[in-house]
Amino acid sequence: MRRCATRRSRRLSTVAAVLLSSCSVSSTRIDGAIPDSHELVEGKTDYRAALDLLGPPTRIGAVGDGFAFFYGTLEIRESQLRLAYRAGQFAASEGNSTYTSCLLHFGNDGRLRAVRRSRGHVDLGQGGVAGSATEVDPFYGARGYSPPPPQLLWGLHSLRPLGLTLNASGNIEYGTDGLELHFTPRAQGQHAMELPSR
Amino acid sequence: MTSCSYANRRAGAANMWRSGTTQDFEIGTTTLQQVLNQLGPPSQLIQLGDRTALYYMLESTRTRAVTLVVYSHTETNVDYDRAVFFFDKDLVLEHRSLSFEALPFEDPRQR
Repeated sequence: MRRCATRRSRRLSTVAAVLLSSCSVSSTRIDGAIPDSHELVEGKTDYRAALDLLGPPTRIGAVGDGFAFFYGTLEIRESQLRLAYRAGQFAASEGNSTYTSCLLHFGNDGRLRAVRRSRGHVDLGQGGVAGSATEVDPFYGARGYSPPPPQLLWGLHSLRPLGLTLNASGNIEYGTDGLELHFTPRAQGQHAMELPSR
Repeated sequence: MTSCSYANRRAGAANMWRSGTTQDFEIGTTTLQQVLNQLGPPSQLIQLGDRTALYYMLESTRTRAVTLVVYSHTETNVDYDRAVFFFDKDLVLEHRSLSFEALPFEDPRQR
């Protein structure tokens, strides 16, 4: 009778251990797919034809004596595994993202000067912890990493007094001034289009 | 231990450009003032040399989450309904473009 009770309590503790374990997967998609832009011809295509083909861009900005359209989509995937038993636990998480971007640069006459496309995979990192009562923070949106896309703040900088605008902090990774290339990673080399000031 | 949840959020300019009024906008005739009167203030007013652009944007965020005992899955989709109007130096409509993805029209005046 006593052995039976012991077995039952062991089973219960095993079940409890399983219940304390968890696996979570999250995915975030920002904006729809960019239509095929291979019909665009540098030096020929007019900005109106580009708009008819691709629709309104993610961002529009004045660049030099012309202007630029930026199209971007972003997909973020994150997974986290957590195994816990009594006071101890093991947790691991990893995240990655895939971006697609297309930049069209027009002259003041409205003709396409240059088109650049890019698609890539960004490793957001991996993390793990073994110990007690500790959690692994999510990579995306975690404090100290990157804030969510500030679309609603677009153009706000231009409404501030000049002194405030020039002294506003800039994010080298995503930009908070100028064209604000949120979808453009550091490696793209397109940050010349904005001048973050500190 | 099993649950599901969903959340929808809209932010940005009311998508008045889906109300059918944009069909009345004629390239070469309609002025910036007329567009503003019909659609209201834009999300962004952009000066591009001689051109002026009115950029309207509505953002929709949908989140779905399912938890099955020890497994949870969360999916977030952010979609945009956009409209952009380009005006020449005389502030006459030069071109317009609406996004291919359209969010259901909700008239803010009837809320």
